[in-house]
Amino acid sequence: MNTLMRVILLVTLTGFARSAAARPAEDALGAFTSQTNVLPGTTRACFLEDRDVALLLRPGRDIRMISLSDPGDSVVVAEGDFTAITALEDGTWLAFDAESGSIVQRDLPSGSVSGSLDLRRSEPLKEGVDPFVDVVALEPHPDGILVVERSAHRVRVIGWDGTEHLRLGGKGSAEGAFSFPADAAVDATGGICVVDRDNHRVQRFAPDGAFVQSWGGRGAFPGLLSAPSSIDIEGGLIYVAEELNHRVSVFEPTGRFLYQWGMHPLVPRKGEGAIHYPMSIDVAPDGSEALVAEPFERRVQRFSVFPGGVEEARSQPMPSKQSILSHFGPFLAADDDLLAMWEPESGAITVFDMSDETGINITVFSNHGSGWDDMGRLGAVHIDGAPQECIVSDVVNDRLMRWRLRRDRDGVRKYDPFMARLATAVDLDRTRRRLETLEPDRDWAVPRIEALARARSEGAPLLAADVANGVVIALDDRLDPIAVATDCTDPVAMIGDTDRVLLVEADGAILAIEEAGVRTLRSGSDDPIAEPIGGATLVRDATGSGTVFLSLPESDRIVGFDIDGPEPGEQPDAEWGGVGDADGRFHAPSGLGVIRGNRIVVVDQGNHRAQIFTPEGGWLSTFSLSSGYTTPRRRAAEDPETGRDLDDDQ
Amino acid sequence: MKRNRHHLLTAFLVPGFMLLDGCDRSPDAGAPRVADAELEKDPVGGEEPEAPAAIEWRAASSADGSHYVRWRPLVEPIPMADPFDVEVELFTDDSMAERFDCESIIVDAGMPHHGHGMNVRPELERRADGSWIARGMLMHMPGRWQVYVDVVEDGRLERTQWSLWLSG
Repeated sequence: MNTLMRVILLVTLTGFARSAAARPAEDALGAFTSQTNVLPGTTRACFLEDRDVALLLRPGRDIRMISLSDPGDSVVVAEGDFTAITALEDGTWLAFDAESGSIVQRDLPSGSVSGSLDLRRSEPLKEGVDPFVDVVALEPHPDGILVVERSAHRVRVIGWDGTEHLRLGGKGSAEGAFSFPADAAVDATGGICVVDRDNHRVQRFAPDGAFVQSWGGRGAFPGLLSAPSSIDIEGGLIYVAEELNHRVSVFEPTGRFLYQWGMHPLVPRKGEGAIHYPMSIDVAPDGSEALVAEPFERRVQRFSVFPGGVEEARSQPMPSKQSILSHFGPFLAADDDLLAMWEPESGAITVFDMSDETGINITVFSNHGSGWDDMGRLGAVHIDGAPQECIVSDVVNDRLMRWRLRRDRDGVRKYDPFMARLATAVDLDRTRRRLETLEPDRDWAVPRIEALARARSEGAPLLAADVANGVVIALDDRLDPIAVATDCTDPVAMIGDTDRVLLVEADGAILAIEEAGVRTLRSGSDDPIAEPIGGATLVRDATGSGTVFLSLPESDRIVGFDIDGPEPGEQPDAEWGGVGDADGRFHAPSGLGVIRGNRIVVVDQGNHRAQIFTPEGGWLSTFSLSSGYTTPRRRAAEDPETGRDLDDDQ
Repeated sequence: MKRNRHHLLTAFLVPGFMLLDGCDRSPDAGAPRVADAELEKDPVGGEEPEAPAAIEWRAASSADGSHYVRWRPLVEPIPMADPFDVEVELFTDDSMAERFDCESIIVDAGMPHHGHGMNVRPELERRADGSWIARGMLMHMPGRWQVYVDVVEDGRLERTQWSLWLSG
């Protein structure tokens, strides 16, 4: 088998080299061919031999084959907790099965296991080889399989016999180090290119793993990169999809920029070549077509070559995203009259005064960067309304920061760029060392905090959901850990309640962290909502009864569950939304929060705005960074199914 | 879902405040008061620029109150787009009776509304008396600047900051 696979790879790589040689140098991909709607959560798409057929990955759910011209013609080839796929030219595909922690190779189209490439079960990793961690991409390599392990910040080549041939990375920003690598590709010489997502660069390594060069750097100018998410090398060219620049950049093997295509659609959900948050790119071996997956838009787009070559590609108009008013991130923090939201594209936090009917932007603070008062990528934001403090978790710089807002609550409301002041910042390696003293028997990693909340009782500590260690920790006023509160598996949000903190997990489970311990309020098993949760918040009415609201980005809804009933319900007690850009509708709603007057704020991420509702789902207001309104927008014509304003198409 | 059900009494009852560590209060680092401040000469560096007595100190408590900071430029007015030096002193509290001793500090400045800082990184030098000189500050444009003095000890930063207006 090993020999056979090596032969297949050799043939494959030879084919790649041939195609590189045969391909006219002036060919340039990027001409829009078609777009195909796919199921929500589809993050990766690969061409199969029949280019009309693609293999799609929905992490944690399934792998499908789909006809690009007839999306109704789709087959589930495997179900399970798969997190990475790649299609090989021999008609098989590789996938990482997170449940078993192994790489499997399967035939198409049946999905039955054809090979013995199950590194854990039939050919386990050799003794001393570290188990796989957070595998997000696989690529065939002359010595086996290239495995990208995102949160381990490494890329390894694992041989077909389970030996580790090569290891690249380690967290950091130095040459050869990675910060959440997202994908990798092998060139015709066996050299490796890695998209180093949170360092916003591509790094190139020689076949022996020696660092060769890097290029990019965060920015939107041609040749710079912002959150590169995927890479492919075909025909001697390097194609890089960039999540936050909403485009594909094309480079020569030297890293010299050639051209780009895509860019942000001016109208959300408009495709036809305009790309929005791309997460994967696959270029056909002959370099004649590309397939780009955009999970945010629930579609894949197919591109061919421009007849006029690079010159024509370079002459294409690139829409500006300047007209997009707000690029709110997926979460928010709210307390009383304050609301904070992160903008990943600017790297800043925006703060709104919520004491009036709509949000009023009163300050923006920090920038993207690595300095003590800069931010990399945020894992969570929390606001304490009374002291007007904002606690921020930065998962790239491994920090917790406390920002204080100097704001006269009773004064005239105005924008003040000097309002936020960094008070303290803590390097989370310090936190790790202190956790070691709290519980010396555990092997502690540097925490990665993805949710923050504090019970509303006097003196309650801040709780932090630490994904790296799978725990919730309690922090003191200096942001140092004072206790390990409970385990957590996949936290989405934490919500401060009167005397407890509610922990909402991705599977829909809701747990109460109380003085006496942890109680399950709602089980996530057999959950009727059956889709990932984007955000959560809690509203208590005048009688004290509580409703937990969850946002569902894939079905564009908000649902509410009575949390204090004798039998907390599995079926929602409240529900509103639906896809569209009319007021009251959403595209991929995510973060939720409650502000003064028991109003619910929803980050309507796909519509680049936030909306305010009553707990019953009544629309109150829509706002973004620069504007807000409380009278529903007049719409001349509206798509009855999607609620989309048809005027936008003009 | 397997969970550790820790008893959380400790977490909820601890009031969330721990004693400071990292930065020590030097037992014998008594500092002169503002009025009779005298800067010691740098024993190595030869001629030490000294701020004229008329240049006022700017003083403030750190964000969490663990120390008290004062600073002043060695020239006044602060030049626009020309390098200048500042001296910085840290005390345990606003009585300024006792030096706050720490391994290193960061002196920086920025214009948050423009989204940038200085284009240079000043060099820091510790004097024999425990005070600091930041050499090579450069405010390259007029407008409102923020001046920061950060104490970083054992992975924790605590900031003290001021605003100043630089005329063109």
